[in-house]
Amino acid sequence: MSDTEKNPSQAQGGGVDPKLLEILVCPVTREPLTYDRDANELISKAAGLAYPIREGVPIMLPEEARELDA
Amino acid sequence: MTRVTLIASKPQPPADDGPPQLFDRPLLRQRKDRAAREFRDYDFLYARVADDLLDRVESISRDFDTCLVIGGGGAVGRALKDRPQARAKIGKVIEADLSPKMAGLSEHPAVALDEEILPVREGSVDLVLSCLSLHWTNDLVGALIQINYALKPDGFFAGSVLGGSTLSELRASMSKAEEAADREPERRVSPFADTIDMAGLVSRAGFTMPVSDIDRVTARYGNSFVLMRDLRKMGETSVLTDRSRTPGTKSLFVTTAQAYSADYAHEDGKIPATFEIINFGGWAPHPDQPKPKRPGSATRRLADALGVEEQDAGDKAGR
Repeated sequence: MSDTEKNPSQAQGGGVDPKLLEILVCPVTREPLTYDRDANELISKAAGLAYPIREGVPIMLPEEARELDA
Repeated sequence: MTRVTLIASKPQPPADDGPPQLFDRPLLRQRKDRAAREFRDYDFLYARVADDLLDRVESISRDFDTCLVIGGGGAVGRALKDRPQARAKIGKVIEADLSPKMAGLSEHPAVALDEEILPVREGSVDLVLSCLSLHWTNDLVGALIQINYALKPDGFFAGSVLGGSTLSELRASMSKAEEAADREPERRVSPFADTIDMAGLVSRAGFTMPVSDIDRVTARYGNSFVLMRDLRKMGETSVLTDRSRTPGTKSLFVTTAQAYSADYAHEDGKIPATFEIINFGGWAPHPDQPKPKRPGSATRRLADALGVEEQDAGDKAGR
């Protein structure tokens, strides 16, 4: 899990609710996710996928995820 | 009348060796995304189910820290605003939907997810409510198992799906119209789940103390065109993989409307449409939950407790 989740600043702008970060895992690998605040994405290293967050809503759909460069 | 059942007559090839794909979920997502913009004007069925789900939460004498809502386009969160008693029992509400746009309607933290690959950590939530979404899953038991897995021990799950006799009037009228036009009846209306033993499925998914019941809601419409428009606005039109690919002609829908009115219209000319709602629920297992005693372990006779005389039913007592 990301170590940024308790930072209050993420409640603003493109942030994501800390509780969501706490309960969500990668739908493909069921591994924990890392929150990349700059890119506003949830990263699954094991799956090599980055799930976008749009208007604070994580899109946990593999077909919507960006493939990470190996 | 041709009955449309859950079992497709043409078996679908399993996708990626998974269960047969009865429903086209990417299409469902598209339909829901499209419906999201005006959904709040057409969400009466979801609002009603949300209210019923909250009744069940209120009837439980414990509080829930984290609640995950699956489906309903934010309807449960909206219903909570008028339900202070239920609201007080729930700490954090998270609303989820297959459609990112439906999830975006939520007034709580929201996530777009597919309940067939539920991306929720094991034992991380206390309460799961599913509002009219699981009837579109290809593997209902699989989805229930994943919900069970997401719950903490002794967490509670309650859900509602549309059942088999939903829209029976529309299906019958459409079959009549297709027969009148000398056409093979096509699968134009989603079959929904047949009225199955939901408590049995909930139990198979590992929940304890499973329950289920059936509720019927009759909505009234001016005619079947209005009904079909409303179904589109709810994003509930058929997404069967085996659905008809030939668009219905205008005359087919006109004949359907005529048959519908002739067979079902009330005195004021309005037509009824039945929605069958199957409610179900259960608990994630916990060692402290009540368990049935081993057969034969009773120390007192039932007849004594009831104050009646025991009668021999002819059965042999078990070993």
